[in-house]
Amino acid sequence: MELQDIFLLAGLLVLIRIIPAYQTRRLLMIIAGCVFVFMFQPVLPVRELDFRFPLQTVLLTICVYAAFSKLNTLNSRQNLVDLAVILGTLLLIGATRFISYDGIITASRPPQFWKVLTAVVCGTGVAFLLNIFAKNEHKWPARICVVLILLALVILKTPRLSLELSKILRSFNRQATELARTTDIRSFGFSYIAFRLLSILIDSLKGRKADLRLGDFFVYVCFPPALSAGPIDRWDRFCKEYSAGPGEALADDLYAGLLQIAYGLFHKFVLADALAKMALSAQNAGQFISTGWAWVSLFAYGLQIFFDFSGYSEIAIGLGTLFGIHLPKNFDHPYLKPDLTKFWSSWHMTLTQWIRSYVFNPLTRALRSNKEQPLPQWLIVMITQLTTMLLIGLWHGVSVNFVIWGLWHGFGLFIHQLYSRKTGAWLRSRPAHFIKAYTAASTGLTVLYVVLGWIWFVIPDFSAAVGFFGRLFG
Amino acid sequence: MDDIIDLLKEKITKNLLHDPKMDLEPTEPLISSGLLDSFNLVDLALIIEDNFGVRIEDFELNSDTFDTLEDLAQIIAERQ
Repeated sequence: MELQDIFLLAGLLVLIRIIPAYQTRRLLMIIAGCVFVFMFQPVLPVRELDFRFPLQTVLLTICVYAAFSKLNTLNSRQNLVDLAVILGTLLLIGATRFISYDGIITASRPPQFWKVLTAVVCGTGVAFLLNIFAKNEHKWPARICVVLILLALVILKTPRLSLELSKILRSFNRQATELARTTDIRSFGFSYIAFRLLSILIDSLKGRKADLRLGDFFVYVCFPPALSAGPIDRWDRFCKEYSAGPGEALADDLYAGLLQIAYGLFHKFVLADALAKMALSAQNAGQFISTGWAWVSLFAYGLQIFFDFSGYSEIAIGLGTLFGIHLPKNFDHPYLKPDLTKFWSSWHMTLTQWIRSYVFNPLTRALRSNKEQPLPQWLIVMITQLTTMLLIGLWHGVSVNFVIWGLWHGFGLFIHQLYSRKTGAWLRSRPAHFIKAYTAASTGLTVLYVVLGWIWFVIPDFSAAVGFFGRLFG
Repeated sequence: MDDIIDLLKEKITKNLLHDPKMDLEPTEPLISSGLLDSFNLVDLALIIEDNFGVRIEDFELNSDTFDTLEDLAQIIAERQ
């Protein structure tokens, strides 16, 4: 999100909020969700792709809605209205081709109108088909959606697969395949959208009932403030608050929202951008001669990534508050936590909570529930921590450096779990001044471990990362 | 309710925190304070399932759903 997008969104969300008619407000939010998915998509060199990605995101969201529960029928009058508004908005966005050569809402000029119409008709047809089976208690529509979303995530996150896809699309479009780059395949905000879609699909496959209107679900998935960098809210919490309406506390929400946005802007555009000038990067990693400056650049990076990401989250939360939606907190002073477990409970909290709900907790429960041949506790801790953190690493990108970064934290959590189990009761019985000193020392150690871990995160090349470790300690 | 709280308190201090002498207040935060970690929470869910026949779902194991012995006892009582 650029500055102009933030101000535009802030004004728009307040305007929509103060509209007294409930139905008008709902429909305008659906249109806003649809439009911003297209507006935020960056330009891509592969022809038509920067239109097709947002288009497919919207159609996929409709298909997921149709697939996840027998309670949700696309044929109801309310849902048909919501559907007509979404499809109408898509077609109108496609029709902007006739009034501009550059694209007004879209990153570049939309494709020929018949192509847009065909995609919309096909996507809607698939959604109705999935809905027929889902209503008859078939689970395969939801399962197919899970597989497709995971497949899309793997392709988008794996540089080699992105490159191959770019080559295929380029040759299909008769564009030069030798110019293909991994960066050709970027679908804006899909990592977050995918996790929102997956959460409701998994819940429904586990038998949880979700009785939602299409429009409310669509706004949950494509809520413009949370499109670029989360937070990943829970569908039940969001939809409950959203369908209840924004409430009467407009002045309070405006004050709280604007204050939060101001903090976010300061953290992102002042602190993070200033720190970026001296922070470690993939480009400057090999250029440090002095050990001292290498350490400075590493800590600067640790602070930069924190202010950048938490700043974005604050802006998103502030924008949500202006509209009367109170998105969950995503960061809670992570660098002031005395151990790695508490760090991960306060860094990108909504992603951690998502992974806990859908990976860590079920996996731990399954391993713990095997009472006939119980696994040793340390092995369960190791398996679950490494798996969870490996997945968080892969979520950032399928590459060696993110795997190492994930395992670095998984290993750290494993050690901390074993250690804290032995020392927890002992520490609680110590005098207050000892606990204070212990907490200060363990906070420093935790920060050091996390900051050293960022080396793997920021430097994609393994030998360059090892070289930088050598510079720090050599 | 008091019976549920007493049993929960005993199980948490003895089985999860390995500190049976610990005095745990019914309104003391368990999750947001960091007293129970993510492993403890899964174990707690299994203990509740075994002792009360109530299932706490995976997505509910966080401080938004419950944070104190009192909150947890309330959920158990409602679902029993």
